[in-house]
Amino acid sequence: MSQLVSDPMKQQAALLSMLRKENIYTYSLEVTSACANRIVVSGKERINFISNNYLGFSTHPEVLKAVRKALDKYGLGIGGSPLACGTTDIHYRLQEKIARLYEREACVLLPSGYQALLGSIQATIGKGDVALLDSLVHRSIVDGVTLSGSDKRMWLHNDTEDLATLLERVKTKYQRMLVIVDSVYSMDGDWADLKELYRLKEEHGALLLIDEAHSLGVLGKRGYGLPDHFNMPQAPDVIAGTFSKFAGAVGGFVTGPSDFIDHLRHNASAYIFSASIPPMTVAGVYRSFELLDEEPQWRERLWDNISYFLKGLKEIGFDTGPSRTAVVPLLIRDMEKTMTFNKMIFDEGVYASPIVHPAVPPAESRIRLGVMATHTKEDLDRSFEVFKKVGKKLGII
Amino acid sequence: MGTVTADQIRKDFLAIIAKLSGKKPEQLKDGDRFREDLGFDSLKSMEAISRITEMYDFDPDLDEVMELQTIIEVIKYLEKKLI
Repeated sequence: MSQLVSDPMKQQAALLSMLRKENIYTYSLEVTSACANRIVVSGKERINFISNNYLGFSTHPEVLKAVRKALDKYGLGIGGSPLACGTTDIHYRLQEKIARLYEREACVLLPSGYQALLGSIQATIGKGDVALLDSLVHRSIVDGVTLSGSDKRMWLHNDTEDLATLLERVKTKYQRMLVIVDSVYSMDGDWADLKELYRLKEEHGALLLIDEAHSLGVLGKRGYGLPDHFNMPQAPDVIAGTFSKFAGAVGGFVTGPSDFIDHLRHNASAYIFSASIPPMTVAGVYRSFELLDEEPQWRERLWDNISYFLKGLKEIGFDTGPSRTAVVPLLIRDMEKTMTFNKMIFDEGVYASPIVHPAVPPAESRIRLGVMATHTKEDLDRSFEVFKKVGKKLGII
Repeated sequence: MGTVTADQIRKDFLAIIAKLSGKKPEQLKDGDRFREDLGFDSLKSMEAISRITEMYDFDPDLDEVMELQTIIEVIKYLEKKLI
């Protein structure tokens, strides 16, 4: 083992080595197809439950047409930071579109959703402030708060009573309090109570930032996310999100008041010190936003599939936790069984993601499944057969 | 300080850990490790410390606190600081 791997790192290395030896390691396998309902992994086509490409837009012909056109005009990338030459006319058009969609004054694009969270948090709070995080927020939020230099406190997942107690307790100690939530939680598939969060932040004089990653394109009458679902467009102060889920692409955004967005542009290191999203990607994402309005059938099909899938899994006897969205956990509650289950379904042609400690507590080990609008009934039925067979064999159901 | 008892510290800290872990106080064991047994990440572990130190109004030494891995280690630390 190289000198770069320290003693604490060796413990993890030993675990990974054991998983590989047991032939149950399924992370970062080689993919040789597009991310559709079926995906070719390790040389074989499998039903794809591992992606967040919920609407299937990454392979939509209209999106690909827009990408090709932008590729011909702008080339592979734009060769600089957004503050330099990295903001093209289509970057501006996409920013305006997102700001309109969320009913905000301005929007800024960042190279990834992770960076959108780092940037939005760093631009909002600093030393002398406090971030109040739901216990299940995405890692990008925790890292963003660390980068900001503010204090961080945690409240129990979706427990707004616990948040209220915490707000009351810390409100005199800090200049600014920023409540941060995921709109839809990436591991459990449930969503935040925007109505109550808005009431609390108004009552205690706090600010509210929401991460729309798994919500945009999924929740709401028009697919405009959590604010659309609650019909409360102005409830959050800042909205961040990503294109890696709703468009199956890459890139992030932050939208809010124009003076705040201007401040972010000139102060957030995640924005300033990174090359801009390639124009071809921006063009594809822009077309995806148009499709959200023009082709609501994709969202309808996604919701039909979510209902069918959740119902089917429960009927077989699986515990899907609090999920109500396209993120569906199969709670197995044992790390070794989770890894084995995942490998066995993989061998049967179903590709999913095992989530174990330290990502979740050991007793919450699970298989994470991402439902797609492009899954066929045959895909879902076949997956039920496989889950049932393997679940019985391992004594999970 | 001074008037607080070891029993009270234990009771208060177990109540906080029970709430954060979703367990009942009587299900918790002194030797439970925050990370491995209770599934706490660093954020939740620090929140547990923040809640108990707020309750007794003292500032912990974060370097010392970071070393504590089990329920009993934190209780002993609190007793040392508060009694």
